[in-house]
Amino acid sequence: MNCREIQKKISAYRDKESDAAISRGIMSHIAECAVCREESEAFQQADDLLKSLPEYEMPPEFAGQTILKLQASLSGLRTRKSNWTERIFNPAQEFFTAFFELLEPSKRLDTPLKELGDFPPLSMCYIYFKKL
Amino acid sequence: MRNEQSDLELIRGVQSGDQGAFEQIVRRYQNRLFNFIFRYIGESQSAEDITQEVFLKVWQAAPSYEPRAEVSTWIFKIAYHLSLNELRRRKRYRIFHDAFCREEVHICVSEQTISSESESEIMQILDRLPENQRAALLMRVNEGFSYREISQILNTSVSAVESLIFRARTCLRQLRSR
Ligand SMILES: [Zn+2]
Repeated sequence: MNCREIQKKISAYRDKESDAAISRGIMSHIAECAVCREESEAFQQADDLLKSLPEYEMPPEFAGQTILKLQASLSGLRTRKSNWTERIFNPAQEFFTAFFELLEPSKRLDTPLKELGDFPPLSMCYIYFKKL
Repeated sequence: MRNEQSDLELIRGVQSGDQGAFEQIVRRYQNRLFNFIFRYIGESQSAEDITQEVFLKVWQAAPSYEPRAEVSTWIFKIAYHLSLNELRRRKRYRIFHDAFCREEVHICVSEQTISSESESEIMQILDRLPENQRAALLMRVNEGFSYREISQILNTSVSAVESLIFRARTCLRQLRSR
């Protein structure tokens, strides 16, 4: 293997994902080739960068809140709520679609408005009033 | 002792509706998942919401879990998909906004979780990697998954994972030296 081929395989080699023959080839090449050794060290630095990111811990109440949310969904609270919001939201969405088309029929979105259903209603209102 | 239960035993518990087993899965995976999702999508509040969503999905999907894949791989697959949905949602939102509002809209507002300068620099570099390269590299370097496991999570081949990780590392080095 020449340097170019070695350098393409160093990433997997460093992850111990190369097969034995290739690993041996890379190992002996790196021992003698300063350029490829440097290349390997540069990969190490890239990994070190990611490993230096802080590890966050969830707030102590997170697990409890997750259980509560599960229990709420099991008791059907969530389904009722979403039915209620859907009843309001679906006609509103249809209205907005028609409204925007009326304003600027040329501006066709790649995405149908229905897919935007999970956006916060406030930002929809913001866009609405900006348009007015 | 309960504490010593394996992931598989806990998922079996969840399958039979045991909320105690579910809570242990939450406690075992919450930090790992949050850190992965946060680094992948770059926004802490959404990352916390998605982390919670992952666990609710784990509960829902547990009956169909088959031990062909490791529990951790299965959970990360759920996390990856929900996070990817969030990235796509944001992208649609940006297209939508750009279509109707002239001004630039910053979806990623002030980031309270980012505590140090170097962390925000790294996060900015990460943000510039293609989504699948970022996911693969984080799963390898920070989560220690094997290429085979990552291929299961990303639903691709092992050689594709090798290529993603190689390109991600190369990209990271170039972005960093800029
Ligand atoms: Zn060489």
